[in-house]
Parts: sequence; C-alpha cells; structure tokens
Amino acid sequence: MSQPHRLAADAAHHFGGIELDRSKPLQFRLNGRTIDGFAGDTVLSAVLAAGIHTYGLLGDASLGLTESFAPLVSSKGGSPLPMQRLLASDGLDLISIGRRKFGLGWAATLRHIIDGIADAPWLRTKPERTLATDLLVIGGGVAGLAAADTAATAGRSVILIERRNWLGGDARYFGAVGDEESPEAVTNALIATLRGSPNVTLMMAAEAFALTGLTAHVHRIEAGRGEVIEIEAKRIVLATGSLQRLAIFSGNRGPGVASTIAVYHLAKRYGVTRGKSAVVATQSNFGYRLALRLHDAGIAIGRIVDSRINPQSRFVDFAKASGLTLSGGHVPVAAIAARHTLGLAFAPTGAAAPSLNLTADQLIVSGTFQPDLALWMLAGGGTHWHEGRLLARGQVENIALVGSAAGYRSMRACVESGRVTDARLWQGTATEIADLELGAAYETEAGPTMLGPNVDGPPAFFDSGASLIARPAPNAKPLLTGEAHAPSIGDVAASVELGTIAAVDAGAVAEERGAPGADLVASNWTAPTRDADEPAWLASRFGPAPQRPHLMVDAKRKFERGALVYANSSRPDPVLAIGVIVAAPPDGLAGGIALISQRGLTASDRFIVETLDGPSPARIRSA
Amino acid sequence: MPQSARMTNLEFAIFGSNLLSSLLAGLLTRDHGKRVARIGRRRSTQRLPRGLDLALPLSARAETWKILRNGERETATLLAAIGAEGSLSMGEVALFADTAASTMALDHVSHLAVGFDHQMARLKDGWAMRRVAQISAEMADDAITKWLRDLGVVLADEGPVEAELMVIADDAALLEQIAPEARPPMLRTEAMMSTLIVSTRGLARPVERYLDRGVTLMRRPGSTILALVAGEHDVDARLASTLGGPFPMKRLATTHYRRVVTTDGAPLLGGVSGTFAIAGLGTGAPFFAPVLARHLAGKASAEEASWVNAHGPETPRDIVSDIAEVLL
Repeated sequence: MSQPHRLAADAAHHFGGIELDRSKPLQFRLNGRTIDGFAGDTVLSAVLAAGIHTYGLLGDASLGLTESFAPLVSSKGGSPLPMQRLLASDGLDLISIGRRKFGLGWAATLRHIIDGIADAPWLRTKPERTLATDLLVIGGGVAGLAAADTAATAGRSVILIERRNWLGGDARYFGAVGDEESPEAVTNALIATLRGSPNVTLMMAAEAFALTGLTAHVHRIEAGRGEVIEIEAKRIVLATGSLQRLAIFSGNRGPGVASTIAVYHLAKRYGVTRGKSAVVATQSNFGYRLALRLHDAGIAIGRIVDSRINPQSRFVDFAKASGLTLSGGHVPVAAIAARHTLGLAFAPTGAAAPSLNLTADQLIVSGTFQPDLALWMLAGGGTHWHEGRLLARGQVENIALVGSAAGYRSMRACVESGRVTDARLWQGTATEIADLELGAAYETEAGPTMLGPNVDGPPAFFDSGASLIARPAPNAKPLLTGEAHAPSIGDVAASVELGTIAAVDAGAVAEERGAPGADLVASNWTAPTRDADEPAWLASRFGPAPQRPHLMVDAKRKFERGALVYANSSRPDPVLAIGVIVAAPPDGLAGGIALISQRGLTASDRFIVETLDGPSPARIRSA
Repeated sequence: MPQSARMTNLEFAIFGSNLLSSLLAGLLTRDHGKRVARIGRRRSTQRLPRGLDLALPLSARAETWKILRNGERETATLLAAIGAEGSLSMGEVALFADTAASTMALDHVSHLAVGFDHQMARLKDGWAMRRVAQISAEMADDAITKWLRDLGVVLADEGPVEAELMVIADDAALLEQIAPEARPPMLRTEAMMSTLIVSTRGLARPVERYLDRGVTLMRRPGSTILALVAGEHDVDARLASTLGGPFPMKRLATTHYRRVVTTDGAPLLGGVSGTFAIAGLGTGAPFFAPVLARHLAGKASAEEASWVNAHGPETPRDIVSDIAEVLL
C-alpha cells in the first residue's frame, strides 16, 4: 500500500477520516499509475493520499491539485467526471482530461500542461430527467439542513442537493462556541431527521450549475455515473455557504499550499494531509484551532504566523500552552516549492520586526470568507461590497438566501435563517435574525485578507478556481474582461482589496460576471423587409423641392448610388455638393438618377459625379 | 464615499462620465478660461464597456461629417498633448446592412466618407472603412483625469451644484437629470445589452456593425468579442446571427442598460429643462468635444454655430434629420 500522506486511522479529532472504511482497501489506476485507497475515498482524496499534489504547469509555475482546482477524469468510454465528487472504487481505470506531458519530473504531479481549462461538458448537456418539488434546497450545510427540515415538517416535498459527498458544510471547522451545541451535534441531528422524512430527497455529489427562474440544472454522480437532472421547484433556498478566499502572495497556489478549510476537510473526512510538517499562516483565531488539531494528530507545526499583532483568543492560549511557536504581525510573501518541501518567506506588517524564512512540507493558509453568490447572481440577485466582502443585495421572487451565503457568521444565525425561510418564502413573513458570535468580546476579530508585497516569483492568484487571474506586475492594470474564463466573485473581491476595482463598483462588476447569460446558439435570424423608400434624411438633403434628373456621361457608365454631384470640377468638398445619385435609371440605362437642388439645376446642366473610381463629367439626359 | 464638489462660482457644470464630458470640461477650462465642474463618477475600467468611441458618424449629412473630421484632428492633437496618444488607434470598421433601406443608407454614408478622404471597400453586404480613429476610454482614463485635475476642473461624483449653465453630456446623466415628461419628443430610450463572448475564431475586423440587427461587435483581448446589442426582442438571436460560431458560444459577462437615441437620427444639441443637453451623437461623441466647447464658450465659427443651432430641440428637424437605426 502506498498512501504516504494518510494520517493514522486513530489520529486525534477523528483526523483518520470519518468517511473511510479502512477495512475495505481498494486500488484503481489513474493515467496508468496505481493508486491505493479505501472505501469512502473520492478519487481526489486517494490521489492526494498517494502523494500526488501537483496538477501541472501553468507556464513555469507548478499549480497544486486541490478541491477547487482538479482535472476531470474519465474511464474508457465514460463521460468526464470531477475527481472531487467521484467516489473511488476498486478496479477503476481513469485518465485525467487535458493536455499532459511526460517526463516532467518526479511522481508527485499529474503532469498537466495548463493552457486553459475547458468547461465541464455537462454544462451543455440536456437533462436526462426532470424532477418537481415544492422546495429545492441547494447546499447541505447547517442552514440548508434547517431550511429543509422546517419545510419538510410543514408537509412540503423537499429536494436537498449538496455538491460534496457528505452533509454538514463548513460549520465543524469553526467548532462549538461556549455552551452552544456543537456543529457536529446540530448537523447530525438534522441529517438523521431528514433521512427519516418521507417527503425529503437528499442528493449528494450533486452540483447545481444553472438556475433559470425556478428551474435548476444539476449534475449528479451516482454509482460512478454522471447525469444532468432538471429540478423544477415552487421555491428555492440557496444555502450555498461561503468560500474561503486566498491570501495574495507569490506561489499561493503552488503544490503544498492549501487553505485551512481544505486541510480540515481532507483530514477530517479522508485522513489526508501533506507530509509531516506544516506552517500555518492565519488572520483568524480558527487557524490556531486547526493547527492544534493537526498537532494533536501528529503533524509537526513549525510555526503559526499571524498577520495580526498580539491577537487574543482562547485558541492562541491553547497553542501557547501546547508549546507551538507563534509569530505575529507577518504576512506571507512567497512559497517556493522544492522537491519535497516548501521554502516560505514572511514579511512583517510593521517595519520593526525581521522577516521570517521557514521550511515545511505544507503551508496552510487561513483566508477571509466570501459568501458564495454565484447562483444568487444567476437568479438575478444583486451584490454590493460591505465590510470586506460582497454581500447579496435586493430580492429575487420565490428564492431565498440563507446561512453564510446570506452573510451570517454565527452558526446560530445560520440555523435560524434556515428555519425562518419557510415562513418567508410561503407567507412572506420577514424575521430579524441576531447574528451574535458568542465569546466575541474576548477574541480578537479576524483580520482582512493577507496581502503580501508584490515580488518576482510564481504567480499570486486572486482565487482558487479556473479563472487563473493573477496579480499583475507592478504598475500594470489588469483587464478582467480579457480573460476567457469569467472572473469569480473571489477574483472581484481580490481586485477590490488590491485597489484595481473601486469598492463602489464591486457589486456591479460581480453581477456582470456572475450572470453572464446563456450560451449563444446558432441563429438564422433575418431582418424584416424594409424598402428603400425615399427617407426623410434624403428628401431634405438638398433643399426644398429638389429635382430628379437622369445624369449620364455615355451609353455605358453607371453611377453608383450615393455618389455626390458637384457643379464644377474643383476639389470636391461634400458640403458643397449640389446633389447625389439616388437610384439606377430604369430599363438598365447608363448613368444614374440624381437628386439635385433647385439652385444647382438652374446654375448649369453640366455636372461632375464623384464616383469611387474618380470624378466623371455628367449631363442631364435629354428625354 | 461619493465625492462631492466645492461647487461655487462655476460657469459650467458638465454632467456625465463619458469621454465627451471629460474632454468638454477640460477644453472649456484650458482653451476658454471657464470655471468648470465635471459631475459624474468615473466608470470603472473593470466594468463592461457600454459603447465605443469611433470617429465614424452614421450620417448622411456632409455638415456633420465635416464637423466630426475637424474634431477628429483636434481630438488627436489634444490626446497627444495630455499624454494619452496611446489611447487613439486607427482600425478597420465594417458596416453591414440586411434591408434595402439600410443598404441605401450605407451607400450614401460611404460616398460621404470617401468625400472626406476615407478609404472605403465594398463588402458582400456592406462596406469596410479602412482607417477609423478609435479612442480607448480605458486607456485614456488616467491621463484625462490627471489633465482635468491639473487644470483645476472640479471633479465630483455627484451634485448638487450651482453653475451658470448645466450641460448634460451623456445618456446616464440625461436619464437621471431630466424627467421623462420634460424630455423633447424626439428623444427615446432604448434597451441595450453589452456582453462578452468567448470566440475561438475571433472577429474578422476590429469593429463590425450590423445596422438592421442592432449589433456592434468589437474584437477584445484574449479570444473574446464584446457585443453591444440594441433593443429588447430576439436579442440573443440577432446577436448570434452575426457570429461565426462554433456554437454554442460561451459568455463571460453581461450587463443591461438604456441609451438615449433620437427618433430622427440627428443629434440633439440645445436647451432642455434649463440645461444644455447633448444626445444622439452616437459613437462619435468625443470627437465633437472641440466644437461643442467653442459653442458653449461663444467662440464657435459661424459654420459651427449654424451646425449646433440647427440641431436644437426647437429648430425644425427636417433639415437635419439623419439615418436612424430602426429595429423592426
């Protein structure tokens, strides 16, 4: 068995992987390489456990293989599927989709050449079947679960879809606060209730990718096969959660650099973490919480580096008590991948402190949280920039945002927002929800996105997905509209923080890109007929009562429509034109019918017609 | 925070955030010594463009062509003087017509263009104009803003403002400042869509206009095409009919807005609700800034003043009526 990045089965805090059944090992092949795993693994988690952490090369830069950036895979004759959602199974023989190059170095890479990420094929696939429901809940975090539970209790039919292979969302990452019920307990209770409810359908590995009115298109993987389902609902709850943003520094998407949320879920769900040592860069207290858990699970935490100076938190105190080394007032500058380790550079936020240079197997970075408003904007919802993030603005009929997607921060408020949504959607009842974070008075607030200085080196990306927009070189202005992939909401947020988009424009920019419209399909649209009757602009062009003589020069030459008529042969000034050719003569005769001012006609019967081939003399054809 | 102006003792308040309003404010200050405020928030260069600034009037009036050609030369000189010469480029523009009426209109436009020293080539369903001046508002933005600041033009995102004359210089300002019932009858608003399309084949020419389909296409960086589509009906079908595929074609961004056009196709320049309103200049708007600045400052030549006055809302419009883009 070769799973060097798998934690021990009995690792602390269930970091051995709660999705795994270690009594059922499995083996599959990816690009001809044998990958070991366990029942419950996704293809991605097994690949990461095998030590493959690199997607490939974008230019000269290696990019990491992550939950939000991984190639599609397909088996022989099968359709491409996301490796994040495809469960590993014994005997699978997969290839990753996209250009690959062989002989690119060591075994930790999928060896892709990243020259543009193709859209997933299911985005343009017709649905195989249509389902109807009273309520569609998109997102299976605490808010979505609560919304589904409340609706089901009220007797409504509910379909809840969740893109991951498990329910519960990100609440567990934050843990319990004070005497509050733990996220684990809350989610487990809700999941148990919903699983026992006859009018609730739970769909995992199901991702909504389009929303038109109250119809969603969903790509779901079931038993190793992908299908597109259309779901028509009377109401929709968007419980799409929040996305953890990237800190902006050189190499922030290199192999071995991962977000705290991704590291937490990989360890908790699949018992996977990269290597034996880590440095944690954080701007919030939850980075310390994750570092402590990894430390307990056997990972050597080389340092916790906080962008804040002297932060106060129970997690900071616990970290100190556990003997972890802490540094405050530093932001990451660069993460440079070496063969088996990362070289890490940090700069002080104030002038007094020295720079830090560290090495570790991985850099775990805590970022700010941005509500995932992609579907909200597709539904027609607006956004605006408020206190360091884009929040929803306005209303969309019969569609509600709940939980952290709606901007709530505390688990209590997220659950409550899900609970009250049924009354809001069906009775129009608005309820004020208090969003109080227990114990907040004793905890230093999370800092803003960590922005490292702009240095030479690997790219500093704005976001973690396929848009691949990177920080521009100093003094260059990025043009987001030039990208072949629409910038994500994270890209827009990063642009605000870096000053390339004004905060006041952020909402409009996000909306323009968040709701780009349906693909254009071929069209043979033809304009209705519009005859060339003499229009007003022509009738009045040469004064009152112009005449329409037939001008000609000889029996062959035809004058083009639009050719200007002058009274003499001096260098033509169109303002001095006395007329214009307006039509071809009848019966195929040469010359052209002109529209000439009365004054022009009284002055002479000899004219110059300025054709595209040059001037031509002309006279009025005698009857 | 929106910026507000120190708006005292002003002679002109120019409402608008397009290139025309900026150039007008600057020229009134630099060339005519006026005290000017420009009221309007700069459009983010990260937002989708809502128009293009092209020295190509869809006009069958020689007088309008002459004013624009003179303005084109003056504007090029101005941009060079303020360090924005890189924002001006010369490129080919194709004009296409489907109907007999539009084909006829293009024939007349094209001969006028030749009369004003443009090179034209006949295409299967239209005409190509070889070297048309185009200003990139994105590229000019920083230099023009610095120029206005250096001149002492008061720049503010919004009013209120007191000035001897308020000038409404772009569509958004007109829609905001002048109530529908106060607008002259020849003004109408039209739905517009700006959308960015991924195109593997690109666009044959930098700019293509399809008169009867209400579509303007512009080549953009990164295998993309920006499309501006007028009207509310069959929007995607009309747009797709101008594109070569392969279909389906993905879109990256879209925005919807309204523009102001005149029913007779001629610009409207003059008094509306106590302001001096500028509307219907089309893509050529910034190139009219020099003549409009002279007119507002009382320094226009007799020919220029005659042209501006002929486009007033109270003047008989039949003598200036021009080619109106009509979507059927």
